[in-house]
Amino acid sequence: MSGVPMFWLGAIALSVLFAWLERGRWRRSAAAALPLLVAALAFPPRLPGRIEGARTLAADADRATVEATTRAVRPGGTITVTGDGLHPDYWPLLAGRRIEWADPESRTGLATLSWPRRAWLGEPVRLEGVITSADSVTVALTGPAGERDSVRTDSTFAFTAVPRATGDVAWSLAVGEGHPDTLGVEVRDPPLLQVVILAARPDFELPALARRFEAQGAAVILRTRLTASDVRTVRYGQADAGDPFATDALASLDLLVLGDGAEATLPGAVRERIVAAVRDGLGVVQMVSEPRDRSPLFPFEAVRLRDVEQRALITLDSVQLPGRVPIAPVLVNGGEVLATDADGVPTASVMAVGRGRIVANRVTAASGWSLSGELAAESAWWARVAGAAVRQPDGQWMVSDSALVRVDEPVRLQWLGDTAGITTLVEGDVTDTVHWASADSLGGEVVLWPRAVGWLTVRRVEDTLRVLVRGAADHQAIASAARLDAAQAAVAAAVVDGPPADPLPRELPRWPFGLALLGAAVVVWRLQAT
Amino acid sequence: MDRVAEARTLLEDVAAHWRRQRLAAWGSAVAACALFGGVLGVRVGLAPLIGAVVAGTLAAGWGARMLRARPLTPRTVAEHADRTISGLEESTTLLLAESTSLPFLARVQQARVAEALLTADRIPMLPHASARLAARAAGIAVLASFALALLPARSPARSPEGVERPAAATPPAQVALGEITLAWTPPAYLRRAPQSGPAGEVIVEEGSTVRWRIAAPHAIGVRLVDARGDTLAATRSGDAWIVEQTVDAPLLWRAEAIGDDDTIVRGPDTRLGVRIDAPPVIAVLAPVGRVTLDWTEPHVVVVRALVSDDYALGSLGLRATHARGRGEGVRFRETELGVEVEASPSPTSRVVSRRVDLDSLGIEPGDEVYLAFTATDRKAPQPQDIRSETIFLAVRDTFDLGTGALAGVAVLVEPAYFRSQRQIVLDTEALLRDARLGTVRDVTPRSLEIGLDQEALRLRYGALVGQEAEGLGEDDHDHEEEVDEDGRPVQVTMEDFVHRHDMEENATLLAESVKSTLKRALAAMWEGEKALRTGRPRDALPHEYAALAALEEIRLTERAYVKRIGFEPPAVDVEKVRLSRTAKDLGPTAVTAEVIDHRTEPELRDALSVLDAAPSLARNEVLEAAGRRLATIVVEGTAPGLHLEALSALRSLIDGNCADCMAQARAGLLGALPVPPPPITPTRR
Repeated sequence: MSGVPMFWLGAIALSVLFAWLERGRWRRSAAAALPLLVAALAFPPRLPGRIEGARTLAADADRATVEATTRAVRPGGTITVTGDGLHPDYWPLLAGRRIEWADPESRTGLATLSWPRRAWLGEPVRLEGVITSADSVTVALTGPAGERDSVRTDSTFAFTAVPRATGDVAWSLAVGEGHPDTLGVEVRDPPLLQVVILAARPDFELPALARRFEAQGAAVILRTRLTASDVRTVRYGQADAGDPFATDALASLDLLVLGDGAEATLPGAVRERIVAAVRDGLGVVQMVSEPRDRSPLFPFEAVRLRDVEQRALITLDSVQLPGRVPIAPVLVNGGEVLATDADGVPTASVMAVGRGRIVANRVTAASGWSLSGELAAESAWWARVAGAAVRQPDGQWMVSDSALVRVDEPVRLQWLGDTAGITTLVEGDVTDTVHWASADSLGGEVVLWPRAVGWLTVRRVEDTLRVLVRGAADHQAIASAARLDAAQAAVAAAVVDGPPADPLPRELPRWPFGLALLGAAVVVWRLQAT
Repeated sequence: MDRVAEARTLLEDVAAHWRRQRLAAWGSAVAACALFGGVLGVRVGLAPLIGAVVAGTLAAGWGARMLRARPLTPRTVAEHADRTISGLEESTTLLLAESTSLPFLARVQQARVAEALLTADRIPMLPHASARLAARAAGIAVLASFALALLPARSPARSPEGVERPAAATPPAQVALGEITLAWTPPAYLRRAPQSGPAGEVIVEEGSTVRWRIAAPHAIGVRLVDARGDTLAATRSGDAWIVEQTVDAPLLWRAEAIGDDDTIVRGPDTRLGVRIDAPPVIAVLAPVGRVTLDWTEPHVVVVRALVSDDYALGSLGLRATHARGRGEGVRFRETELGVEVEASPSPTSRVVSRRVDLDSLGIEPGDEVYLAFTATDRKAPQPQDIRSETIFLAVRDTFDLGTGALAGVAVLVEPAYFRSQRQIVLDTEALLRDARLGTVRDVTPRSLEIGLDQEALRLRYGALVGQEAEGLGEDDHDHEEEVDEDGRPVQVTMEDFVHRHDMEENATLLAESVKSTLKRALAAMWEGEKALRTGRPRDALPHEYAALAALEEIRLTERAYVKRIGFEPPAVDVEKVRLSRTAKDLGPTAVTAEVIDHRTEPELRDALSVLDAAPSLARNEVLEAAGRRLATIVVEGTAPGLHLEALSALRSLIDGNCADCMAQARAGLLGALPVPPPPITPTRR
């Protein structure tokens, strides 16, 4: 039996007891009304509801109000929505009713905003959006160190910022004189990679690359063939001392870099193990200097290029890197192009092999950038080229770049990986276990309803996510723009026919019971006085 | 049951009934008080259960006291009946006595009272004050609870960061820091007047003596603290405190006054900049580029330069280095020449020149002279000197081989597949190793192939020294030794054998013994070829080594030596360090690289990680280290003003009198961190 009927039973029993105690004294029996009135004040009775023909919903109505209003309106009835509309997730609740909504004439301010919720230390964070404005306005981004960047625009804008420290970092974005939005990003230390670099001969590039990996905490093994029978192995960081090409070692390896001609120095059995490891997710970067035949570890077509410059300008992700660097006179066909030279010829390509990826790199001396003072260019190069091959983590959280995370609004978090195990939500002092809203072989999704402003943590063994929750007053412009778009779509798609609604019982107002309680108290007082 | 007993029973029943009612009333009052206590507890931040228990206990105690004070017994009922029911003749209490113990008249009266009591309507309820009191208390408690619950909630006051604001530091004692003035005297050699001014962003000359005058009333001690931790104690002079120091580098300082009760009053961090005395700068105006003179031209060159300094120039001069000779026989001689001042564009700059007569240096055809202007400033105690870029003067030799002498030499274009002597050696060694390992049963086929390569190489080298090409059906006419137009034998060059990275005009001529050494190499090649082509690679190997050594000897004799100017390297043990082309002594095959902490600005990062922690000694130590590092950045960085506020905020955090300094300190620390390079991480797919 639920709590409410039990409370009523208890109140009635108490009233009967009092009445029996005061039997024959009708005035005193009035005191029996006191517990009943207390109960009524706490839980006033409900009367059967009425199904109305039309109702009005205010903008920003919560889910419960939307559901209740919909049930109170008969199918085919009309619900009028005011303002800029409801939360985009609530429109489907109005199914079967006519929707009347007037699009506000003027829309100004932020229309869309996207930024990544997670970034690695040093990884550029791109914050971009669209504003709706008749005139150009100043959009300003203020970083956690107080650094400020701004642009004047009447449509799109984009900022790129680089976090300088790990932790929970927040940027502030202001459009014109409006209330600034706080954009939270979880900045993490780069993952600790396991890397093996194989060089067929001593050179400068591969040890420099090994040091680059080591600088970000990776465990690197550099094997250099000195003579036909001599190999030198240098271990950087916390690299293991065992055979890096053993089966179990390959299973935990994140990246294998093969210098020019290094693949030919590998015994056949080792090559087969590496191929199998690539199919299981290992990444390989092949340094290309000469034309070569296809192989399981080089699934590209590489032919000699004639009349080609020895040093070229490289375009990476539509950005031309400053300074020329040596490239191999080889045309590599196949796979997805990562970078090109000035003539559009691919200088780096990546191809998927099973769950792993193999990158063919034609730039023979990326150190040319650093030696000419363009350290950022070399860093960007390796981040892109090697990053395209590095093994993907076993599991990771993904948050949509355009998601608005606010109190009492649903936020969807995607998990890529195995869904076995416990997912824990930590919000302030409260820790809860979270269950999957949906899950399949690739991953799952959880839907959270944050209850407080601040950073919340979603924790799994493989990955822990931190997300900044803002208040209902934040991201107003974006939320409003999203609501406007959703309202337009909902109004256009509104279907009249639908299932009948169950009428809501009406709850009696509480104030008469409060008044009765007061009156009963006065009566009891007077009775006692007399 | 007789009527007396019945009446007695009635009295007892009524008493019991009244007790139950009173208990119920008090029970309600206790419950109501507990409810009130619970609601009150929630409002004041306590657990509701605690408030309820406390209030309920208090009410229960009070109620029990009240109940004990007014017991409800049959006597009480009887007394009340006497007062409220007529006809009982004030004798109801007789019913409580045993009939057998009463006299006759009392028994009669007892019976009459019993009858009257039993026939009465009812005994009126005793208007007990305690019950009324209980009802009142319950009513008040319930109403108060509802009233309290309906009051609007009062949100707790919290600082934006959710951190309790530390208590403000106790106001400083009477000790205070007053005006601070600076006076500085530049070094004597600069011949500048002393200056003074209020403390602020001041820039002084390197080596200046700076004097701080600090007013600090009621202080028992004053000190000057460098933000990096160094401390200078001030000495009292009248009503002020004085600190004096010679400054050679920028510093960030603050004054601290110490009071009687050990309170310390700290001033703001202030930067003192230092203008470093830079060495002179020399710009060569003439000649532009390298000058090459024919022997028949006048041996005079005019050189000119602009020399400037930030304060004052000292000595000016011209250094000439005369180089004579070829190959390994180059000799150098240095001479110091004077210069003439042509113009003085400013008090600290001069245009100097010199008409250099090369004949006075004893120059001969083929010699070179390297000129460089020198200058010093007047910095004390040690002047700074500088040397300009080198001006190259070369006198062309009258005997010039040029490339025309080689026009008649049949120079074969090196084919792309051509193997070198070293490769032949490696192939032979590989063949012998395979034969030893048993992977090759018959060495003859490979040996023949290597022999053919040896032959091709031998013929190529042989063509250069005029030997006939054997077995190739070439012409049979005698090859005479090549001579030039003067009848002298042609110098055989190694142009086709070596890759010259130098400019041709800078290369020296070859030694005379190249040809004889090359012949020796050819002879060794021939012996090796014979052994290879008869299937005896083991016998061929020593001859191949000999040929290789001879070719190396030829290559090494082609080195050009140029005197290293401005730097005298230590003597090199050639036998020890020259490449031996053997694989021994390669070093360890397994190396563990030194672990390097690549974390930039570790002090600042550590401070960021403890900023939100509770104040403690360990936390302060970390913040102090960050403060010292930040001070260094402020002093040496390009945007010093940017971090001064962070420095002040850090100081406030350590002192515990921070108002809104957490955010400022965090921003300052973040701003001082360098932008890290993008890491190599798995790309999102």
